Amino acid sequence: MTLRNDDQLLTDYGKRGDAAAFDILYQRFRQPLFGFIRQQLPDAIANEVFQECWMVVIEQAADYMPCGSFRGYLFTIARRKIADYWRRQQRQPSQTSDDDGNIEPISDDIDPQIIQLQQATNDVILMCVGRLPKAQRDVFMLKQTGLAVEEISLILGATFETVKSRIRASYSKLRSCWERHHDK
Amino acid sequence: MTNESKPNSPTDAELEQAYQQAVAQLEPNAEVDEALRLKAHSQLRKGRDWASVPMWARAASVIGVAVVGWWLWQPDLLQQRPHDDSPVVDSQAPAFAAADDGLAAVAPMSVQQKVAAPAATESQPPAEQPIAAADTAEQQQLAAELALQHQQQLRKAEQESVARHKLEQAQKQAQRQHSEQLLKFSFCLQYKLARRDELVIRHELPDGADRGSVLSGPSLEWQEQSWQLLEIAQTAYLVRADGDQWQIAEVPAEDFTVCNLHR
Repeated sequence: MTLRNDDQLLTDYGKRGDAAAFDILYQRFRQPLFGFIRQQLPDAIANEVFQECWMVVIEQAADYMPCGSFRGYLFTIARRKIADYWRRQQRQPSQTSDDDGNIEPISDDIDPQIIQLQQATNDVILMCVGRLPKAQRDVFMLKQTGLAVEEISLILGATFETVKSRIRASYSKLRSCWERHHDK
Repeated sequence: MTNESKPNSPTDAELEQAYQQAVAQLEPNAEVDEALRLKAHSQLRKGRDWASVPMWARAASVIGVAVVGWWLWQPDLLQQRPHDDSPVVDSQAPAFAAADDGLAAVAPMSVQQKVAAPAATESQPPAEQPIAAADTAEQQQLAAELALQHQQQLRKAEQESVARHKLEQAQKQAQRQHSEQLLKFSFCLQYKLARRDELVIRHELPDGADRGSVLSGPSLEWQEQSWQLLEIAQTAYLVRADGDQWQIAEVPAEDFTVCNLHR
C-alpha cells in the first residue's frame, strides 16, 4: 500500500468524501503549520489563525485543483492570514530591513543562563531565529517546514537566487547568535 | 550550506535539529484540533454533491423516491375507483371489508372511508339506502378533492423548497469557484513575477484608471512588497501607494496571458 501524497489526500477528502484523508493530512501539517504561525503571533492569536487556515482548506477542498504543492498552498494561506492580522493591528511584527533590531515574539523573557539545558537550547534557537532580519527569518522558517527553494521563492515573490542567498545568510547569523548565547 | 570554522560552531544540521526540537513543542490547543476535526467531518456531510455519492447509494435513493412516489400516487387511484366501479364495489363491500381488515387499519384515510362507507349503508333500511349512498358518495368526492388539493400544495411547496435549495447551492458553488480561481490566478502571477528582478516603475496612473478603485484588486507580492493588481483594457499593472505617490509597474503581457488561463 503506497502513501498518498498531500494533493491526493485533499482531493480524496474534498471530492470523494474521505474523512480519513483529511485526518491524515491534518496530522501531517498540524505541527509544522502551528509552529510556523506561533513563532510570529501570540499564543491565543496563533490558535485562531491556525484554525482560520484550516477552515479555508476545508471550505475550498471540494474545488481544490493542484497548482504547485499543497504545502506551498497551505503556507501561502498562513502567511496571508498572519499579514492580515498584523495589518489589522496596524503594526508590523518586525522590521523589514536587514538590521538586527527585531522583536522576539516568543522569547521576550528568555535568560539562557538561568534555565535548564534543553529548555535553554530550545529558547536560544527560537530567540536567535526571532532575531534574524525578517527577510532571512521568513526563508529560514519556510525552509524548515519542508518547502523547496523554488516554492519559497514563489510564496515570497522573490527570485530563486535571492532566496538561496538569504538562506545562506540566515544560517550564518544563526550560528553567530548561537555561539554568543549557548552554553554561556 | 557551508559551516563556519570555529571549533564549537554548530553545523547547519545541528542548527536545524535544535530548531525542529524547539518548534516541536509548539502545539495547537486540543480544543482547536477537535473543532477542526468536527468541522471537516460535518462539512463533508453538508458539502457532498450527487456526483460524489457512490453508485449503490444513488440507486438506493432512486428506488426510495420511486416507492414514495408510488405510495403518494396510490390513494388517488383508489379514490377514483368508486365512481367508476360503484355497483361492483357496493355489491362486494362486506366481503371486501371483512377480508381486508388488516389493510384498512393501515391504509390512508380516504381508503378507510371508502371501505367503511359501503359497510355502513348495509345496516340501514332499504328505502334510505339510495339517499345515504348519494350522501356518502358526495362526502367521498369532497374528501378526495380536499386530499388532492392538499397533496398539490405539498408538492408545490416541496418543489419550491428544492428549487430554492438548488439555487443556494449554485450560488455557493459559484462563489467558491470564483475565490478559488482568483487564488490560483494570483498564485500563478506571483510565481511568474518572482522570476523577474526588475520591472519599469512609473509614478503616474495609466489612462483609464479609476482612482477610487485602484487598490481594490487582488493583492500579490513582488520584491517582498505587497501590490494590488489593476487591469485596464487587457493590460495588467502592479500598483501600490508609496507615501504621496503611486508606484506602477506593467505586468509583462506573456505572464498575464498565461495566468489568465486560470480564470
